[in-house]
Amino acid sequence: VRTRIKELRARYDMTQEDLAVKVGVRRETIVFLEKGKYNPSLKLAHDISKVLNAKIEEIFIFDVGENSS
Amino acid sequence: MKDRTRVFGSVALFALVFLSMLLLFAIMSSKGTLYDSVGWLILGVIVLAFGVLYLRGGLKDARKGMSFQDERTKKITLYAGSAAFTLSIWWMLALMYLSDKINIIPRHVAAAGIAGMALLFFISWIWYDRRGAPE
Repeated sequence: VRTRIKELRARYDMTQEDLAVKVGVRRETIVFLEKGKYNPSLKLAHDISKVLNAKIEEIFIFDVGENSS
Repeated sequence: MKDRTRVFGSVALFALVFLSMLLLFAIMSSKGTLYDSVGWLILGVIVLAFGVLYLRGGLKDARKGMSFQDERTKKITLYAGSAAFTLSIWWMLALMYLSDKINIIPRHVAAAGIAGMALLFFISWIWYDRRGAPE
């Protein structure tokens, strides 16, 4: 999964720490999310979308064919 | 407050385990079985290293108002525990096989088994923390 967290964070002049505090996770989790190395829970995705003022599907982009069953 | 309790609990747990290992080392050393006691010291050092690594990042984040334990760290602990459990079975089987081949006394086998389990959990935790938990 690719994310636009970094881009949207920059729009609001928000650091990784700021976002981590607002959504109640550790900074490393934001780092992993931005690198696309961690799939968040629906709750975390929802919280991030609220803070970044964007829809979940605008933030998290699932590549076609990834994890397809 | 919840995080503070969690931090305090984690520090207390790691300290308790480490001190127990140190105590066992001291008792066995004083009995003159220095060779036997070294295993407990190694185990204590592994626990201490894991504790420092685990708590250092968590405390730094908690001080800045971030969560001490979040969904990713919980997932990592779960995966590390599961991997360590599976690998421990093979480690124990290998030890049992080797104990027949090379003459090791049973208490050394037990100590190596416990130390191996702790080490496997430590390695698994580092692995999943760095590489990310599989989805």
